[in-house]
Amino acid sequence: MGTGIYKGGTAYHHSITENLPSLTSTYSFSNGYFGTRGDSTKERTRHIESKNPISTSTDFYNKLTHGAIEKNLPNGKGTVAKLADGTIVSYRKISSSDGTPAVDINIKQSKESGGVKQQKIHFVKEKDKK
Amino acid sequence: MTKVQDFKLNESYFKTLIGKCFKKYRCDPFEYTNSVTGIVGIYIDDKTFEIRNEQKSIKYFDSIDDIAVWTFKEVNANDIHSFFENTTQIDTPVNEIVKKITLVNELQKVKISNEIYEMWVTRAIIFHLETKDIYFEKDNTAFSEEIEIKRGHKLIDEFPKKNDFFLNQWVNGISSSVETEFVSLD
Repeated sequence: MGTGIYKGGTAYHHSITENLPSLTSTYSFSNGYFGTRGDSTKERTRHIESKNPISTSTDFYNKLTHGAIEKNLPNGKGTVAKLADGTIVSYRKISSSDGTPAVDINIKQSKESGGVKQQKIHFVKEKDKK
Repeated sequence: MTKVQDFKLNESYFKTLIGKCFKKYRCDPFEYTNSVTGIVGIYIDDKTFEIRNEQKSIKYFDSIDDIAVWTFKEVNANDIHSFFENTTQIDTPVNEIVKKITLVNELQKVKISNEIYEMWVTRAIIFHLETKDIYFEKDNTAFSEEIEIKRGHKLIDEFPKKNDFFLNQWVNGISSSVETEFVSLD
């Protein structure tokens, strides 16, 4: 961070509210949460199903962090991006809990999150439909 | 039945720091917020301590989740490195005697079906120095690896802070609460 180069080559530092429309037009978004709750007792643990979780999670992360300042974790473990409003997004291709790709959205220090709540999204393989 | 998990930091480490010189701390430069990701080095007298807040897969109440767990331990002076590639950390001089340390601990409780779960977490370490305080606070977002750093006066008055992340994360019908404990070491 601090290089003055924003993700996606944007001319300025984006905030989460600017990136929301591209996300909500593609992904389910309700009451501040993306995807579905899955089996958890915790609202903040979310699931987004797709045929290709890696590809879907990358697309989701790139849309969410367009124009952010991004840093790489070592050994290709993932990335952390800060948006102009203070939202911090981290992305790991392999989460330690279940091995799925995961995106963490931390809006604790966000000045305006556009209604997005704190959440961790696991991208899981779509179950076969009969 | 009550299931208890204890992630409090060990008081005995901190007791030995009273009366010593807090020389400096080392961390990534701040970017927009006064928090850094994952690691802070604290240099007290001739010793170096690492505050680390790193995601691990652990039992988090009733399920396995990726949760940031923080630790405090003595390390070699050269062991403090950024979590990120190509990031140069900065030193912030302090050079004051540690008069007192307060550990702010949270007891998080939740009842799920007939089980009661209790988790102890150290929320913040407050160093009370000769002319000011410095605290290192674990982000209350359970998966967050951020460590907030603040310098000022009477910082203890900022606590307890409401832990909205914990209290509001449960589905309807599950009751939860948080109690705060202040452990004063001098």
